[in-house]
Amino acid sequence: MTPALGYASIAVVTVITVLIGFFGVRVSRTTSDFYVASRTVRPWLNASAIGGEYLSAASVLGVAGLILLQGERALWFPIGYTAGYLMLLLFVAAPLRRSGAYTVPDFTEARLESRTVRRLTSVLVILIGWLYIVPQLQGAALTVGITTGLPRWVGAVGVAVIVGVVVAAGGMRSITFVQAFQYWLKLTAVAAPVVFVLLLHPGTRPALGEAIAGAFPTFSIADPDVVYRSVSLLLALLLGTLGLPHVLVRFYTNPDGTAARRTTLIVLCLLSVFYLFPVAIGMLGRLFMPELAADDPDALLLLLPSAVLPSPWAEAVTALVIAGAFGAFLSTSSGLVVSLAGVVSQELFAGSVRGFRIAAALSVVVPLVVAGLTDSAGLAGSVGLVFAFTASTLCPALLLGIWWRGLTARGAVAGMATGAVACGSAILFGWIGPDGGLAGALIDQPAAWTVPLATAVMVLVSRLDARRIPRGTERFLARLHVPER
Amino acid sequence: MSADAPADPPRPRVRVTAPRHPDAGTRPPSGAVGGDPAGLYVRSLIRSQLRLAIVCAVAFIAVLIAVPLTFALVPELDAASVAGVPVSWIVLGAGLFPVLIAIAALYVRTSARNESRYRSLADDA
Repeated sequence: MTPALGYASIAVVTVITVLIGFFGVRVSRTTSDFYVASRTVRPWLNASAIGGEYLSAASVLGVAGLILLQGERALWFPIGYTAGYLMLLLFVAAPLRRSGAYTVPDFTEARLESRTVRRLTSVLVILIGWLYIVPQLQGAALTVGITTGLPRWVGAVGVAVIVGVVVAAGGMRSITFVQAFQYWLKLTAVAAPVVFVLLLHPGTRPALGEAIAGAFPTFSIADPDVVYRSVSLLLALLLGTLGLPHVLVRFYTNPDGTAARRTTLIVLCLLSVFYLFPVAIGMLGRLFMPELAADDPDALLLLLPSAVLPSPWAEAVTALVIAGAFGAFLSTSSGLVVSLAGVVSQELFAGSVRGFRIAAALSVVVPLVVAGLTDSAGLAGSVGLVFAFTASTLCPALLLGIWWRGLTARGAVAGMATGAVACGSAILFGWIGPDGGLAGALIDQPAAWTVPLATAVMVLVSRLDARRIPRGTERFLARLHVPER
Repeated sequence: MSADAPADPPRPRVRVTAPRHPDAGTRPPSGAVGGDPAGLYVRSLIRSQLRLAIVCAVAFIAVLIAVPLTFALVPELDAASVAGVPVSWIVLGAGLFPVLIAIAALYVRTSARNESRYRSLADDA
């Protein structure tokens, strides 16, 4: 691969991102504009922005890589990543918008009337954000390393600097346009290789079936290990989406609860169309580059066009793919940094615009250090663990907070703390040394036991603490569920 | 009506004892709602929205479970392929998304209907 192509694509997507980012600055005037775009973003624009923000390195590079590696078992990833939005639509979208809170900690504090809950939620949001940014930076390192030949850390530092500057300068208003653009860029980037390969290699489809059948013979359901892992992964992906801070902050930009629902429905459609292509790329990878599975499966999307397509097309599609991948790291990281900076600045700097800028810088530095210290081990898998952590902490607090009168501040704190400790230690043990057998499965995919545990603790402690049900509960729940005029 | 009441003393006594008995088991004894129709409507709105959400979630999860089960129980289906691509890949890689969207669209419509029913009740009260 020629380095010039890599440099050019990365430069172009960066310049466009920065231009849209700064063009949007003119529209943001008040502090409220700066934080959540004054809640005046239309459903289509907002849905594209949510799609652009959500489709991270894990979706653009990781899903195709995992399908190349694991075959059918990995198909649960795109399904889970999309179905998470169904759960979000069913249980969270409209009530959360009607709560009128800016961030997740704002919501839990207003609902449970407790500063302690707020502080714990803030800590969790920051932890989740950091955990989620790390694989983005690792994906950037991989992409820059492969496409330009530069040392890998350059990619991680580059994305961190660009994101920090764009977010600190523009805030949310410009980010909305950046994200919406990024969705369509990413969709083009994953669709182009599939379309061109199928057009230029007419014999591909029949051969595809043989290659897949040869590599992954049967649909295994008898193996309890596979069943447990699949169920646990799906649970994490379905419920984890409910608590992702950078996704939730987007819902405050809807004008009302009904618009929040409509936005989520459009997001579901956008994601469904998007995920057809990483699956197809994984299948094409099985046919054309099966040797990559052992080596660097996350690089499949980047390497496939130049390996399969004839000369002028290979370069054009590769350039597009690099731009799309780099766009993924930029958009997801900037979305995360916006929501992290919102929380950090409200906690430490009383929500001023200057505080937001300092907080944005803080929010990229920590993950950068962690990304430098750790090694990427499968992008889709590490993002899956962040979902498990979110599903075990913020998700039960949000669900019970929205639907159950009996939740108390102590119950929420106990449940979130239990979930964080249980799931956090599983993730740490997984880093230290993965183990086979049942223990290995429980540690690799902790959601199936940590989510019920955290929820049970939350309900049980709230029940024991029933005298301390917040006095405003009835009124607050009415506000969440009663339609606006 | 109020003119009738003092003129007919036994009737209020019957009406006071009658509602207490059948409601005893169904209504929580909390005083928060008592005599407040607005609170009652809100509670019933929340209940119907939650029921709807759970029904939709369970429907989707049932489909999720049914798909791998079907392939395990009918091996011929698992071995079949359409246009060179195995059926199981088509179903899992593409077929579940329309189901997802259909459930979501149904939910959006029905939840809006629950809300408009609440609105007309609340406006009448």
